[in-house]
Amino acid sequence: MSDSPAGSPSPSSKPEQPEQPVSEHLNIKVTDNNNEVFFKIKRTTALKKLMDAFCERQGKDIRSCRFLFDGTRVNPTDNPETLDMNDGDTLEVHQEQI
Amino acid sequence: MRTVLSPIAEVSEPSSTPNTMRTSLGKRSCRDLDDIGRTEAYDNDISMPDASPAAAEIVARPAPRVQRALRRSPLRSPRVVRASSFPPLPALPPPGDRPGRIIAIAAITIYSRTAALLAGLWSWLTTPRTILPLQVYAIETTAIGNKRRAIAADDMRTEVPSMHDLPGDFPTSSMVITPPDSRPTSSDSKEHNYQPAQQSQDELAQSQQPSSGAPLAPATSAVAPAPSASMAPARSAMAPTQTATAPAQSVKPGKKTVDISNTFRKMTMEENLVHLEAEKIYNQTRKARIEARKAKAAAEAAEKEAAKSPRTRARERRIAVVTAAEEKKDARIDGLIERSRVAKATRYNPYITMREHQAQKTKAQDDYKRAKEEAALRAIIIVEAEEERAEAAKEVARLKAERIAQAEEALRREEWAKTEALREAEEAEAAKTAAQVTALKEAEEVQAAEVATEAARIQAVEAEQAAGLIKPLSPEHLAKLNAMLEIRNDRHIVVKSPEGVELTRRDFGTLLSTSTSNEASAWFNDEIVNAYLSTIVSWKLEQDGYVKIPKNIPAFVAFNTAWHSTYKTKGLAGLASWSRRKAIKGDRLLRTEKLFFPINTGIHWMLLVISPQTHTLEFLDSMHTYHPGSDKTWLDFGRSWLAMELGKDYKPDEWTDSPAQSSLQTNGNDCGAFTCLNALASATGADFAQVTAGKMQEARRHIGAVLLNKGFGGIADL
Repeated sequence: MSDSPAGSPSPSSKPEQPEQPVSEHLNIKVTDNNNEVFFKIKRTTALKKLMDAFCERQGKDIRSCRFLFDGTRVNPTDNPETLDMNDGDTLEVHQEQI
Repeated sequence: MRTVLSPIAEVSEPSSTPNTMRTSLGKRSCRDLDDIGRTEAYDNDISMPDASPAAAEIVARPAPRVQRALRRSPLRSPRVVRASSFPPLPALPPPGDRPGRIIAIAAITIYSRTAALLAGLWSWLTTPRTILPLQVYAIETTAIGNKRRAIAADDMRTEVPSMHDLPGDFPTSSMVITPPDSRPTSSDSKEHNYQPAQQSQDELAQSQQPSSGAPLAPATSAVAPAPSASMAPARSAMAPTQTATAPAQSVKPGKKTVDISNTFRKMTMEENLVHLEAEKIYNQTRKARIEARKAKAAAEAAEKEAAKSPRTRARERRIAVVTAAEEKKDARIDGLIERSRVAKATRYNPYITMREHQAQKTKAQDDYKRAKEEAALRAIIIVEAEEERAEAAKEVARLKAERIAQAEEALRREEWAKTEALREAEEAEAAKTAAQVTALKEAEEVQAAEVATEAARIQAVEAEQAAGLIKPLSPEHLAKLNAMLEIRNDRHIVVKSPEGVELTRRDFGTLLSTSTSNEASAWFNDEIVNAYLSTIVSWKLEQDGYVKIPKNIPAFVAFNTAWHSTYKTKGLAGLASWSRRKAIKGDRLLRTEKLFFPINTGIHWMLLVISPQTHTLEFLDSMHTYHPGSDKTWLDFGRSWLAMELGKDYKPDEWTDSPAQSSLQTNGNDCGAFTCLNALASATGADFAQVTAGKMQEARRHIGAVLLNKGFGGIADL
């Protein structure tokens, strides 16, 4: 029983290590629960590109869209690095709530 | 006979004889006498017995003869001349006498009377012949109208000044002006009215004056002796005749002849006597009359003059000018008459012409004088008229001044009344204002009392608030808020939230809406709620000295409002990664103090607060009465979430649902504010009862100020 928890982290850690070098480019999914848009961006690329691109593609006003990553509000100046984003992470797009 | 006899009976009083007789006879009868009475009188005289010596009879009897003599036309010859040219012939040849005797008598007669004849001839030649007294007509102006009046030409020539005042005088060249109505109307003037015979006698007397230098008569003097003078040559001529007749009569004592001659002589004597007497009487009476008239006129004039006031005098003078003008006209007529008369006279006698010339000369002088006087008069009148006009003007001016004064007085009175009324009105107004002032004062006192009570209340409230959750904003924060509200661009980024989210003017518009029509405009949006909650959390964490490092566990965590949509779409698994990002994953959660789950279902804001320290779950809904059972739903969600997060550590019995309830909102807008303030109350441990509907406007300004301030510093004590 102890192996499994011990063994499990080892394989999990194994893939993490080779992941980090490849994490220069991240695949980020942007979804508003209806549409999903994937972006491959650098870690240092400002998320503003994604947000603008998504809004442009979906025909939405960027001011009415709230981009959240894991419950955290994403600002245009943020980049995957600052947000500690990993490959395959998802950006949720929410509409304004009143 | 009758006309002749009637005077005889009348003339018993000798004194008044001539006057009364002539008056009673009148002009017509006089003329009748001239025509008819000549022969009759002659018969009368002849049939008369011897001349009686009684003076009265002498005067009375031959009255017609005297009359005739006096009135005899000068054309026929003056009486004096006639007396001498036709001397009474003592020896008229009786019918049937012998011619030789007749011649002898004639020769004797002629011889004896040569001197007389010569004297008579001389006197006849030298005596100025008077012209026929013209019957002329002049226009007399009376009050009734123009009236023609017959006058004698002699009247016009009278130049004795005193005569002009006589009532019967016709003003020809008169300087003395009498009003027209003072013309001869009185009985006295009637009495002394025209007596042509006497006037002609006067004329005779006067006419001799200019020719007095002539060698005719020694008698040369004024009016009074004139008749006697005129009679003198007659008498002297008569005397030799009589003396001469006497021897003739004695030589031829023929009865018939003697009778006739006696008769003649008697007649002549009588006639002469009569003439003399009559003339004497006339002269005396005339003189007396003239003097009386003069005196009377003088008295009258004096009286008039005395009676005249200066003004009436002026008026009369004015009238006189008018009269003078009229009289000028008359004078022109008279002048015409005069000229014709002169023309006639020149035919007869150069003396008359001379006299006329002199008269004209004097007249011209008079005219000149009169014109001068008239001019002076006119000037005086003009001056007087101007004076009067000036006086009238003065009077008018005075009246005007009086009227003006009266008007002014009236105006003054009116003004006074007005001012009085105004004063009264002012007094009334003052009284009113005073009353108002007192009323106002009272009202002010009441207000002051109210203000005092209000101040006390406010103080109480402030005291309450000072102890409470929402404190009044400082002027500085209010100014900031107002400056923010002045921004009109809704994309303008006002401030950044602690999460780094840009808050725009539009977001603040949902917080402090100025719209009154759109209720939804005042609904808080997610940005405001998230910003405020994160501010609370960050401020709380700052107070705790939280540093975001992996080993530190935040005491306060506020989830993004978007959790509900994620939960709806992905379920609880969708939120699994959120806690990790909050660094409260696992059992770290239990070390946190408060976890805020702002809930937005789309139209309403609510709040779920999980307090892991106390193991309590609070659901705060400002409209919980409208959503019965909703609290259980969200509390169940809390529990499930805890179960998901804690896993096996989650013990449902350890967690309790708080009975605490939010205050109810009274409108459709304030759920967001209630959510925020409830979170604040929850974070500060204050009573939710402090968050009331009445304070929501303050709460909105408070939230705005906190967001602008990027913290609670100076706004609230937590």
